[in-house]
Amino acid sequence: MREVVRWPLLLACCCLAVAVRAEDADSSAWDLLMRLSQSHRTLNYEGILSFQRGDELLSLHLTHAVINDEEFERLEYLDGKQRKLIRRGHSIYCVHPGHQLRSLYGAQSISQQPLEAEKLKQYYSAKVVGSERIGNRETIKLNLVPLDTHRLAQHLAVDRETGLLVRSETVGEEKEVLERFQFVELSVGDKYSPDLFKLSGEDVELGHSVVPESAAEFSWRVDWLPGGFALAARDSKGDQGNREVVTYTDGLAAVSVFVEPLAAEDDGKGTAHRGATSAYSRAVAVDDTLYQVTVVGEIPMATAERMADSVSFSQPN
Amino acid sequence: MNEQMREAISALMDGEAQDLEVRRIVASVDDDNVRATWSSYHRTRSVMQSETIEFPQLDISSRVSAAIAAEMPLAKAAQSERGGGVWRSFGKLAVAASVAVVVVVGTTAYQAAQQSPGSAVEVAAIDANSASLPVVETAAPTVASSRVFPVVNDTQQLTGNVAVSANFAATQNNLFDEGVEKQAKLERYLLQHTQNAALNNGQGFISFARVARYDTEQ
Repeated sequence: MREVVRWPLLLACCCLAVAVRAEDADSSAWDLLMRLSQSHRTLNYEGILSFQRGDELLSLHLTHAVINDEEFERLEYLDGKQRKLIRRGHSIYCVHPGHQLRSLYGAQSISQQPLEAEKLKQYYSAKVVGSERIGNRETIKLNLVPLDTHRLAQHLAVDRETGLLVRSETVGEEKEVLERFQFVELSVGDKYSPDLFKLSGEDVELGHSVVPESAAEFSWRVDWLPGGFALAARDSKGDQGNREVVTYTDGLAAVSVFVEPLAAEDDGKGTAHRGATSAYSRAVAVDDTLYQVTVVGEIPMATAERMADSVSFSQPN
Repeated sequence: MNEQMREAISALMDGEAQDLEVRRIVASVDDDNVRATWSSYHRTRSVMQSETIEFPQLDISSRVSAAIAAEMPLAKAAQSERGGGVWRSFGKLAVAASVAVVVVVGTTAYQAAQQSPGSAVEVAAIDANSASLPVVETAAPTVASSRVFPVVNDTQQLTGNVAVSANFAATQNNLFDEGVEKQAKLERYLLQHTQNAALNNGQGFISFARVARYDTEQ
Protein backbone atom coordinates (compact mmCIF):
# COMPACT_ATOMS: atom_id res chain seq x y z
CA MET A 1 0.00 0.00 0.00
CA ARG A 2 1.28 3.38 -0.82
CA GLU A 3 -0.27 6.62 0.22
CA VAL A 4 0.43 8.93 -2.57
CA VAL A 5 -1.08 11.99 -1.12
CA ARG A 6 0.49 13.65 1.85
CA TRP A 7 -1.39 16.74 2.80
CA PRO A 8 0.99 18.53 5.16
CA LEU A 9 -1.46 21.35 5.71
CA LEU A 10 -4.37 19.01 6.21
CA LEU A 11 -7.42 20.97 7.13
CA ALA A 12 -11.14 20.60 6.99
CA CYS A 13 -12.89 20.39 3.71
CA CYS A 14 -14.56 23.43 2.40
CA CYS A 15 -18.12 23.06 3.51
CA LEU A 16 -21.08 24.41 1.75
CA ALA A 17 -22.70 27.49 3.18
CA VAL A 18 -25.87 27.48 1.24
CA ALA A 19 -27.17 30.82 0.17
CA VAL A 20 -30.31 31.39 -1.77
CA ARG A 21 -31.11 28.72 -4.30
CA ALA A 22 -31.43 30.28 -7.70
CA GLU A 23 -34.91 30.05 -9.07
CA ASP A 24 -34.57 27.75 -11.99
CA ALA A 25 -37.23 28.37 -14.56
CA ASP A 26 -34.92 27.25 -17.34
CA SER A 27 -34.99 24.13 -19.44
CA SER A 28 -34.88 20.68 -17.90
CA ALA A 29 -31.31 20.42 -19.12
CA TRP A 30 -29.94 22.32 -16.13
CA ASP A 31 -32.15 20.35 -13.78
CA LEU A 32 -30.66 17.22 -15.21
CA LEU A 33 -27.16 18.44 -14.52
CA MET A 34 -28.05 19.28 -10.95
CA ARG A 35 -29.65 15.90 -10.48
CA LEU A 36 -26.51 14.27 -11.87
CA SER A 37 -24.34 16.15 -9.39
CA GLN A 38 -26.54 15.09 -6.53
CA SER A 39 -26.85 11.40 -7.47
CA HIS A 40 -23.18 11.16 -8.16
CA ARG A 41 -22.35 11.83 -4.52
CA THR A 42 -25.27 10.43 -2.58
CA LEU A 43 -26.20 7.14 -4.20
CA ASN A 44 -24.62 3.73 -3.83
CA TYR A 45 -23.63 2.40 -7.23
CA GLU A 46 -21.20 0.15 -8.95
CA GLY A 47 -20.32 -0.41 -12.57
CA ILE A 48 -17.87 -1.43 -15.24
CA LEU A 49 -16.77 1.34 -17.54
CA SER A 50 -14.44 1.89 -20.43
CA PHE A 51 -12.21 4.90 -20.83
CA GLN A 52 -11.24 5.70 -24.39
CA ARG A 53 -8.59 8.17 -25.39
CA GLY A 54 -7.06 8.02 -28.85
CA ASP A 55 -6.06 4.42 -29.36
CA GLU A 56 -6.06 3.79 -25.67
CA LEU A 57 -8.87 1.73 -24.18
CA LEU A 58 -8.98 1.06 -20.48
CA SER A 59 -11.48 -0.97 -18.49
CA LEU A 60 -12.31 -0.04 -14.93
CA HIS A 61 -14.58 -1.15 -12.13
CA LEU A 62 -16.03 1.69 -10.08
CA THR A 63 -17.74 1.34 -6.71
CA HIS A 64 -19.26 4.26 -4.87
CA ALA A 65 -20.89 4.03 -1.46
CA VAL A 66 -22.10 6.35 1.24
CA ILE A 67 -21.57 4.88 4.69
CA ASN A 68 -22.50 6.95 7.73
CA ASP A 69 -22.64 10.13 5.68
CA GLU A 70 -19.18 9.56 4.29
CA GLU A 71 -18.29 8.84 0.71
CA PHE A 72 -16.21 5.80 -0.18
CA GLU A 73 -14.92 5.27 -3.69
CA ARG A 74 -12.97 2.53 -5.33
CA LEU A 75 -11.68 2.41 -8.88
CA GLU A 76 -10.15 -0.86 -9.92
CA TYR A 77 -8.06 -1.30 -13.06
CA LEU A 78 -9.24 -4.32 -14.99
CA ASP A 79 -6.39 -4.12 -17.51
CA GLY A 80 -2.68 -4.35 -16.92
CA LYS A 81 -1.26 -4.10 -13.47
CA GLN A 82 -3.61 -5.05 -10.66
CA ARG A 83 -4.36 -1.84 -8.82
CA LYS A 84 -7.16 -0.02 -7.00
CA LEU A 85 -7.55 3.65 -6.30
CA ILE A 86 -9.37 4.38 -3.07
CA ARG A 87 -10.84 7.53 -1.65
CA ARG A 88 -12.69 7.31 1.60
CA GLY A 89 -14.11 9.17 4.51
CA HIS A 90 -15.15 12.17 2.44
CA SER A 91 -18.11 13.77 4.22
CA ILE A 92 -21.06 14.20 1.89
CA TYR A 93 -21.69 17.56 3.51
CA CYS A 94 -18.33 18.76 2.31
CA VAL A 95 -19.03 20.30 -1.05
CA HIS A 96 -16.29 21.57 -3.28
CA PRO A 97 -16.58 24.64 -5.51
CA GLY A 98 -17.10 22.56 -8.66
CA HIS A 99 -20.17 20.92 -7.24
CA GLN A 100 -21.47 24.22 -6.01
CA LEU A 101 -21.10 25.75 -9.43
CA ARG A 102 -22.96 22.87 -11.02
CA SER A 103 -25.70 23.17 -8.45
CA LEU A 104 -26.31 26.71 -9.58
CA TYR A 105 -26.53 27.75 -5.96
CA GLY A 106 -25.00 30.87 -4.67
CA ALA A 107 -22.25 29.63 -2.39
CA GLN A 108 -18.58 30.11 -1.72
CA SER A 109 -15.31 29.03 -3.21
CA ILE A 110 -12.44 28.08 -0.93
CA SER A 111 -11.23 31.63 -1.15
CA GLN A 112 -14.45 32.67 0.53
CA GLN A 113 -15.39 34.65 -2.54
CA PRO A 114 -19.09 34.28 -3.15
CA LEU A 115 -19.87 32.21 -6.19
CA GLU A 116 -22.56 33.80 -8.26
CA ALA A 117 -25.64 31.72 -8.65
CA GLU A 118 -26.19 30.38 -12.15
CA LYS A 119 -22.71 31.34 -13.28
CA LEU A 120 -22.39 28.14 -15.24
CA LYS A 121 -25.23 29.28 -17.50
CA GLN A 122 -23.19 32.22 -18.63
CA TYR A 123 -20.47 29.98 -20.00
CA TYR A 124 -22.25 26.92 -21.32
CA SER A 125 -25.51 26.26 -23.06
CA ALA A 126 -27.26 23.10 -21.94
CA LYS A 127 -29.52 21.15 -24.23
CA VAL A 128 -31.23 17.81 -24.07
CA VAL A 129 -30.58 16.26 -27.46
CA GLY A 130 -32.37 12.96 -27.26
CA SER A 131 -32.27 9.62 -25.58
CA GLU A 132 -30.24 6.48 -26.05
CA ARG A 133 -29.88 3.06 -24.54
CA ILE A 134 -26.35 2.64 -23.24
CA GLY A 135 -25.01 -0.12 -21.01
CA ASN A 136 -28.52 -1.51 -20.69
CA ARG A 137 -29.79 1.77 -19.26
CA GLU A 138 -32.21 4.25 -20.78
CA THR A 139 -30.37 7.53 -20.83
CA ILE A 140 -31.13 11.14 -21.61
CA LYS A 141 -28.49 12.85 -23.68
CA LEU A 142 -27.36 16.24 -22.49
CA ASN A 143 -24.95 18.47 -24.38
CA LEU A 144 -23.07 21.24 -22.63
CA VAL A 145 -21.65 23.52 -25.25
CA PRO A 146 -19.22 26.29 -24.30
CA LEU A 147 -20.22 29.84 -25.09
CA ASP A 148 -16.61 30.95 -25.39
CA THR A 149 -13.38 29.47 -26.68
CA HIS A 150 -11.86 28.82 -23.28
CA ARG A 151 -13.43 25.52 -22.50
CA LEU A 152 -14.38 22.22 -24.12
CA ALA A 153 -17.81 20.78 -24.83
CA GLN A 154 -19.18 17.92 -22.77
CA HIS A 155 -21.67 15.48 -24.21
CA LEU A 156 -23.24 13.52 -21.40
CA ALA A 157 -25.73 10.67 -21.16
CA VAL A 158 -27.57 10.54 -17.86
CA ASP A 159 -29.51 7.55 -16.57
CA ARG A 160 -33.21 8.36 -16.69
CA GLU A 161 -33.99 6.33 -13.61
CA THR A 162 -31.24 7.38 -11.20
CA GLY A 163 -29.66 10.50 -12.70
CA LEU A 164 -26.23 8.91 -12.76
CA LEU A 165 -23.66 9.51 -15.48
CA VAL A 166 -23.57 6.69 -18.02
CA ARG A 167 -21.44 8.32 -20.67
CA SER A 168 -19.27 11.41 -20.77
CA GLU A 169 -17.52 12.66 -23.88
CA THR A 170 -15.25 15.64 -23.99
CA VAL A 171 -15.38 17.17 -27.44
CA GLY A 172 -12.72 19.43 -28.92
CA GLU A 173 -12.87 22.52 -31.02
CA GLU A 174 -12.88 20.55 -34.25
CA LYS A 175 -15.84 18.53 -33.01
CA GLU A 176 -13.63 15.51 -32.42
CA VAL A 177 -14.21 13.31 -29.37
CA LEU A 178 -11.08 13.74 -27.25
CA GLU A 179 -11.94 11.21 -24.61
CA ARG A 180 -14.90 9.11 -23.58
CA PHE A 181 -16.01 7.45 -20.38
CA GLN A 182 -18.82 4.97 -20.93
CA PHE A 183 -20.40 2.51 -18.54
CA VAL A 184 -21.07 -0.90 -19.99
CA GLU A 185 -22.84 -1.99 -16.85
CA LEU A 186 -24.24 -0.03 -13.92
CA SER A 187 -26.11 -1.23 -10.87
CA VAL A 188 -27.55 1.01 -8.19
CA GLY A 189 -28.72 0.64 -4.63
CA ASP A 190 -26.68 -2.16 -3.12
CA LYS A 191 -25.21 -1.95 0.35
CA TYR A 192 -21.46 -1.96 0.79
CA SER A 193 -19.20 -2.53 3.75
CA PRO A 194 -16.17 -0.35 4.49
CA ASP A 195 -14.04 -3.50 4.18
CA LEU A 196 -14.44 -3.27 0.45
CA PHE A 197 -12.41 -0.08 0.52
CA LYS A 198 -9.33 -1.42 2.25
CA LEU A 199 -5.95 -0.96 0.62
CA SER A 200 -3.48 -3.66 -0.25
CA GLY A 201 -0.60 -4.31 -2.62
CA GLU A 202 -0.20 -1.62 -5.26
CA ASP A 203 -3.32 0.26 -4.22
CA VAL A 204 -3.24 4.02 -3.95
CA GLU A 205 -5.15 6.15 -1.50
CA LEU A 206 -6.23 9.56 -2.65
CA GLY A 207 -7.06 12.46 -0.41
CA HIS A 208 -9.94 14.87 -0.38
CA SER A 209 -8.91 17.81 1.70
CA VAL A 210 -8.48 21.32 0.61
CA VAL A 211 -6.25 24.11 1.85
CA PRO A 212 -8.28 27.22 2.50
CA GLU A 213 -7.38 30.84 1.91
CA SER A 214 -6.03 31.34 5.41
CA ALA A 215 -2.88 29.41 4.57
CA ALA A 216 0.04 31.49 3.35
CA GLU A 217 -0.36 32.74 -0.17
CA PHE A 218 2.18 32.07 -2.83
CA SER A 219 4.57 34.71 -4.14
CA TRP A 220 3.00 34.43 -7.57
CA ARG A 221 -0.43 34.95 -9.05
CA VAL A 222 -2.39 33.96 -12.11
CA ASP A 223 -3.48 37.31 -13.48
CA TRP A 224 -5.80 36.04 -16.15
CA LEU A 225 -8.46 33.35 -15.80
CA PRO A 226 -11.20 32.38 -18.22
CA GLY A 227 -14.58 33.61 -17.02
CA GLY A 228 -16.42 31.53 -14.46
CA PHE A 229 -13.39 29.78 -13.01
CA ALA A 230 -13.15 29.80 -9.23
CA LEU A 231 -10.36 28.72 -6.92
CA ALA A 232 -10.78 25.09 -5.95
CA ALA A 233 -7.51 24.06 -4.32
CA ARG A 234 -4.11 25.31 -3.37
CA ASP A 235 -1.18 23.30 -2.14
CA SER A 236 2.56 22.88 -2.00
CA LYS A 237 4.27 19.59 -2.57
CA GLY A 238 7.64 18.09 -3.14
CA ASP A 239 10.60 17.53 -0.87
CA GLN A 240 10.96 21.12 0.20
CA GLY A 241 7.38 22.01 -0.48
CA ASN A 242 8.53 24.21 -3.31
CA ARG A 243 6.23 22.84 -5.94
CA GLU A 244 3.20 25.05 -5.62
CA VAL A 245 -0.12 24.50 -7.30
CA VAL A 246 -3.47 26.22 -7.55
CA THR A 247 -6.45 24.60 -9.17
CA TYR A 248 -9.44 26.37 -10.65
CA THR A 249 -12.75 25.02 -11.84
CA ASP A 250 -15.81 26.31 -13.66
CA GLY A 251 -17.93 23.44 -12.43
CA LEU A 252 -17.30 21.14 -15.38
CA ALA A 253 -13.65 21.53 -16.23
CA ALA A 254 -10.62 22.04 -14.05
CA VAL A 255 -7.20 23.55 -14.63
CA SER A 256 -4.12 23.64 -12.40
CA VAL A 257 -1.16 25.98 -12.42
CA PHE A 258 2.16 24.68 -11.13
CA VAL A 259 5.19 26.74 -10.22
CA GLU A 260 8.47 25.24 -9.14
CA PRO A 261 12.13 26.15 -9.34
CA LEU A 262 13.85 25.06 -12.48
CA ALA A 263 17.33 23.60 -12.78
CA ALA A 264 19.49 25.86 -14.88
CA GLU A 265 20.16 23.35 -17.64
CA ASP A 266 16.55 22.61 -18.33
CA ASP A 267 14.72 25.03 -20.54
CA GLY A 268 11.30 24.20 -19.09
CA LYS A 269 9.38 24.97 -22.23
CA GLY A 270 6.93 22.83 -24.07
CA THR A 271 3.42 21.67 -24.67
CA ALA A 272 1.66 18.33 -24.48
CA HIS A 273 -1.73 16.92 -25.27
CA ARG A 274 -3.28 13.75 -24.05
CA GLY A 275 -6.94 13.21 -24.77
CA ALA A 276 -8.81 16.14 -23.29
CA THR A 277 -5.85 17.31 -21.23
CA SER A 278 -3.52 20.06 -22.37
CA ALA A 279 -0.28 21.06 -20.72
CA TYR A 280 1.72 24.21 -21.40
CA SER A 281 5.01 25.01 -19.75
CA ARG A 282 7.30 28.02 -19.80
CA ALA A 283 10.34 29.25 -17.91
CA VAL A 284 10.36 32.52 -15.96
CA ALA A 285 13.38 34.24 -14.49
CA VAL A 286 12.74 36.10 -11.25
CA ASP A 287 15.91 37.87 -10.12
CA ASP A 288 18.45 35.07 -9.82
CA THR A 289 16.02 32.20 -9.78
CA LEU A 290 14.56 30.34 -12.68
CA TYR A 291 11.03 29.00 -12.32
CA GLN A 292 8.94 26.70 -14.41
CA VAL A 293 5.29 27.63 -14.81
CA THR A 294 3.09 24.81 -16.07
CA VAL A 295 -0.63 24.84 -16.74
CA VAL A 296 -2.39 21.47 -16.91
CA GLY A 297 -6.10 21.11 -17.54
CA GLU A 298 -9.01 19.85 -19.59
CA ILE A 299 -9.17 23.09 -21.53
CA PRO A 300 -8.01 24.23 -24.97
CA MET A 301 -4.27 24.64 -25.38
CA ALA A 302 -4.59 28.32 -26.25
CA THR A 303 -6.30 28.96 -22.92
CA ALA A 304 -3.58 27.08 -21.03
CA GLU A 305 -0.97 29.15 -22.82
CA ARG A 306 -2.68 32.40 -22.00
CA MET A 307 -2.99 31.49 -18.33
CA ALA A 308 0.67 30.48 -18.13
CA ASP A 309 1.74 33.72 -19.76
CA SER A 310 -0.30 35.72 -17.26
CA VAL A 311 1.47 34.33 -14.18
CA SER A 312 3.24 37.15 -12.40
CA PHE A 313 5.64 37.05 -9.50
CA SER A 314 5.59 39.65 -6.76
CA GLN A 315 8.93 41.26 -6.08
CA PRO A 316 10.66 40.23 -2.87
CA ASN A 317 10.82 42.97 -0.23
CA MET B 1 -16.59 -17.57 -57.99
CA ASN B 2 -15.34 -20.50 -56.00
CA GLU B 3 -13.96 -21.11 -52.57
CA GLN B 4 -10.40 -21.18 -53.86
CA MET B 5 -10.73 -17.66 -55.16
CA ARG B 6 -12.19 -16.46 -51.87
CA GLU B 7 -9.30 -17.97 -49.98
CA ALA B 8 -6.86 -16.41 -52.38
CA ILE B 9 -8.40 -12.97 -51.83
CA SER B 10 -8.29 -13.44 -48.09
CA ALA B 11 -4.66 -14.50 -48.24
CA LEU B 12 -3.75 -11.53 -50.40
CA MET B 13 -5.31 -9.18 -47.86
CA ASP B 14 -3.14 -10.70 -45.18
CA GLY B 15 -0.07 -10.51 -47.36
CA GLU B 16 0.24 -14.28 -47.44
CA ALA B 17 -0.83 -15.06 -50.96
CA GLN B 18 1.23 -17.41 -53.08
CA ASP B 19 2.42 -16.30 -56.50
CA LEU B 20 -0.13 -18.43 -58.25
CA GLU B 21 -2.95 -16.99 -56.17
CA VAL B 22 -1.84 -13.45 -56.87
CA ARG B 23 -1.73 -14.14 -60.57
CA ARG B 24 -5.16 -15.70 -60.49
CA ILE B 25 -6.63 -12.68 -58.74
CA VAL B 26 -4.95 -10.18 -61.04
CA ALA B 27 -6.22 -12.12 -64.03
CA SER B 28 -9.76 -11.89 -62.60
CA VAL B 29 -9.61 -8.23 -61.77
CA ASP B 30 -12.41 -7.44 -64.21
CA ASP B 31 -14.70 -9.97 -62.63
CA ASP B 32 -17.39 -8.07 -60.71
CA ASN B 33 -17.79 -10.86 -58.17
CA VAL B 34 -14.12 -10.78 -57.34
CA ARG B 35 -14.15 -7.02 -56.93
CA ALA B 36 -17.27 -7.17 -54.76
CA THR B 37 -15.69 -9.79 -52.52
CA TRP B 38 -12.50 -7.74 -52.26
CA SER B 39 -14.49 -4.68 -51.12
CA SER B 40 -16.58 -6.71 -48.76
CA TYR B 41 -13.60 -8.30 -47.04
CA HIS B 42 -11.99 -4.90 -46.59
CA ARG B 43 -15.16 -3.46 -45.10
CA THR B 44 -15.37 -6.36 -42.69
CA ARG B 45 -11.78 -5.89 -41.64
CA SER B 46 -12.35 -2.20 -41.10
CA VAL B 47 -15.33 -2.90 -38.88
CA MET B 48 -13.36 -5.43 -36.88
CA GLN B 49 -10.63 -2.90 -36.38
CA SER B 50 -13.28 -0.37 -35.39
CA GLU B 51 -12.53 2.01 -38.19
CA THR B 52 -15.37 4.09 -39.46
CA ILE B 53 -15.98 4.03 -43.18
CA GLU B 54 -17.51 7.12 -44.61
CA PHE B 55 -18.06 6.00 -48.21
CA PRO B 56 -18.32 2.22 -48.25
CA GLN B 57 -19.86 2.13 -51.70
CA LEU B 58 -17.31 4.36 -53.34
CA ASP B 59 -15.09 2.67 -55.87
CA ILE B 60 -12.42 4.81 -57.44
CA SER B 61 -10.50 1.93 -59.00
CA SER B 62 -11.58 2.74 -62.52
CA ARG B 63 -10.34 6.30 -62.15
CA VAL B 64 -7.10 5.08 -60.66
CA SER B 65 -6.64 2.67 -63.57
CA ALA B 66 -7.25 5.51 -65.99
CA ALA B 67 -4.70 7.62 -64.17
CA ILE B 68 -2.09 4.90 -64.29
CA ALA B 69 -2.77 4.25 -67.96
CA ALA B 70 -2.35 7.95 -68.61
CA GLU B 71 0.92 7.96 -66.74
CA MET B 72 2.49 5.00 -68.53
CA PRO B 73 3.88 6.95 -71.48
CA LEU B 74 5.27 9.57 -69.10
CA ALA B 75 6.97 6.97 -66.96
CA LYS B 76 8.54 5.40 -70.03
CA ALA B 77 9.74 8.75 -71.21
CA ALA B 78 11.15 9.57 -67.80
CA GLN B 79 12.99 6.31 -67.63
CA SER B 80 14.93 7.28 -70.68
CA GLU B 81 16.22 10.30 -68.82
CA ARG B 82 17.86 8.75 -65.81
CA GLY B 83 18.86 11.28 -63.27
CA GLY B 84 16.04 13.64 -64.14
CA GLY B 85 14.42 13.27 -60.74
CA VAL B 86 12.76 16.63 -60.80
CA TRP B 87 11.18 16.01 -64.17
CA ARG B 88 9.68 12.76 -62.99
CA SER B 89 7.79 14.51 -60.25
CA PHE B 90 6.49 17.12 -62.66
CA GLY B 91 5.08 14.33 -64.78
CA LYS B 92 3.32 12.79 -61.83
CA LEU B 93 1.98 16.14 -60.77
CA ALA B 94 0.28 16.59 -64.11
CA VAL B 95 -1.45 13.24 -63.79
CA ALA B 96 -2.47 13.75 -60.19
CA ALA B 97 -3.91 17.13 -61.03
CA SER B 98 -5.98 15.61 -63.79
CA VAL B 99 -7.40 12.97 -61.50
CA ALA B 100 -8.18 15.46 -58.75
CA VAL B 101 -10.21 13.22 -56.50
CA VAL B 102 -10.28 13.88 -52.79
CA VAL B 103 -11.68 10.72 -51.29
CA VAL B 104 -11.26 10.74 -47.56
CA VAL B 105 -10.73 13.55 -45.12
CA GLY B 106 -9.45 12.64 -41.75
CA THR B 107 -6.83 15.18 -40.93
CA THR B 108 -8.60 17.27 -38.33
CA ALA B 109 -7.92 14.72 -35.66
CA TYR B 110 -4.19 15.10 -35.99
CA GLN B 111 -2.32 18.16 -34.87
CA ALA B 112 0.69 17.25 -36.97
CA ALA B 113 0.89 15.88 -40.46
CA GLN B 114 2.24 12.62 -39.11
CA GLN B 115 0.21 9.55 -39.56
CA SER B 116 -0.04 7.19 -36.63
CA PRO B 117 2.39 4.38 -37.24
CA GLY B 118 1.09 1.09 -38.47
CA SER B 119 -2.26 2.21 -39.76
CA ALA B 120 -2.76 0.87 -43.24
CA VAL B 121 -4.45 3.26 -45.58
CA GLU B 122 -7.35 1.52 -47.25
CA VAL B 123 -8.20 4.29 -49.62
CA ALA B 124 -5.69 6.99 -50.43
CA ALA B 125 -6.61 10.64 -50.25
CA ILE B 126 -5.51 12.47 -53.33
CA ASP B 127 -5.05 16.14 -53.09
CA ALA B 128 -5.00 17.98 -56.37
CA ASN B 129 -2.02 19.97 -55.21
CA SER B 130 0.00 17.06 -54.03
CA ALA B 131 2.64 15.53 -56.19
CA SER B 132 2.09 12.00 -54.99
CA LEU B 133 0.17 9.45 -56.99
CA PRO B 134 -2.56 7.34 -55.44
CA VAL B 135 -1.22 4.14 -53.97
CA VAL B 136 -2.96 1.51 -51.93
CA GLU B 137 -0.64 1.40 -48.96
CA THR B 138 1.70 4.10 -47.98
CA ALA B 139 3.41 5.70 -45.07
CA ALA B 140 3.97 8.99 -46.85
CA PRO B 141 3.24 11.95 -44.61
CA THR B 142 1.18 13.73 -47.22
CA VAL B 143 -1.47 11.04 -47.36
CA ALA B 144 -4.26 11.46 -44.88
CA SER B 145 -5.38 8.57 -42.73
CA SER B 146 -8.48 6.68 -43.70
CA ARG B 147 -9.82 7.05 -40.21
CA VAL B 148 -12.83 9.27 -40.51
CA PHE B 149 -14.41 11.43 -37.85
CA PRO B 150 -17.94 12.38 -38.80
CA VAL B 151 -18.89 15.86 -37.77
CA VAL B 152 -21.07 15.85 -34.71
CA ASN B 153 -23.56 18.62 -34.22
CA ASP B 154 -25.92 19.28 -31.37
CA THR B 155 -29.15 18.09 -32.84
CA GLN B 156 -27.98 15.00 -34.63
CA GLN B 157 -25.53 13.43 -32.33
CA LEU B 158 -24.33 10.10 -33.51
CA THR B 159 -24.33 7.24 -31.09
CA GLY B 160 -21.31 6.33 -29.04
CA ASN B 161 -19.85 4.67 -32.11
CA VAL B 162 -18.05 7.86 -33.07
CA ALA B 163 -14.37 7.06 -33.03
CA VAL B 164 -12.33 8.82 -30.38
CA SER B 165 -9.68 10.97 -31.97
CA ALA B 166 -6.11 9.79 -31.81
CA ASN B 167 -5.06 13.20 -30.65
CA PHE B 168 -1.70 12.47 -29.18
CA ALA B 169 0.73 15.19 -28.51
CA ALA B 170 2.30 16.28 -31.72
CA THR B 171 3.08 19.89 -31.06
CA GLN B 172 6.38 21.62 -30.94
CA ASN B 173 8.58 20.89 -27.96
CA ASN B 174 6.39 17.99 -27.09
CA LEU B 175 6.85 17.44 -23.37
CA PHE B 176 5.95 13.81 -23.71
CA ASP B 177 8.84 13.25 -26.09
CA GLU B 178 11.54 15.04 -24.30
CA GLY B 179 13.12 12.49 -22.11
CA VAL B 180 12.40 10.60 -18.97
CA GLU B 181 12.83 13.47 -16.52
CA LYS B 182 10.39 15.77 -18.24
CA GLN B 183 7.90 13.00 -18.75
CA ALA B 184 8.02 12.03 -15.09
CA LYS B 185 7.49 15.64 -14.11
CA LEU B 186 4.53 15.96 -16.41
CA GLU B 187 2.98 12.75 -15.09
CA ARG B 188 3.42 14.08 -11.58
CA TYR B 189 1.60 17.26 -12.53
CA LEU B 190 -1.17 15.27 -14.15
CA LEU B 191 -1.65 13.19 -11.01
CA GLN B 192 -1.75 16.20 -8.75
CA HIS B 193 -4.04 18.11 -11.07
CA THR B 194 -6.41 15.14 -11.21
CA GLN B 195 -6.51 14.84 -7.42
CA ASN B 196 -7.92 18.35 -7.26
CA ALA B 197 -9.95 18.12 -10.43
CA ALA B 198 -11.71 14.90 -9.44
CA LEU B 199 -13.31 16.69 -6.50
CA ASN B 200 -14.66 19.44 -8.71
CA ASN B 201 -15.24 18.40 -12.29
CA GLY B 202 -18.14 16.67 -13.95
CA GLN B 203 -16.58 13.19 -14.06
CA GLY B 204 -15.49 12.83 -10.45
CA PHE B 205 -13.45 9.88 -9.28
CA ILE B 206 -13.26 8.23 -12.70
CA SER B 207 -11.08 11.18 -13.79
CA PHE B 208 -8.16 9.18 -12.44
CA ALA B 209 -8.34 6.99 -15.53
CA ARG B 210 -6.43 9.85 -17.19
CA VAL B 211 -3.42 9.32 -14.94
CA ALA B 212 -0.85 6.93 -16.32
CA ARG B 213 1.54 6.67 -13.38
CA TYR B 214 1.24 6.74 -9.63
CA ASP B 215 4.88 6.35 -8.68
CA THR B 216 5.80 9.92 -9.44
CA GLU B 217 5.15 11.47 -6.06
CA GLN B 218 8.28 12.84 -4.43
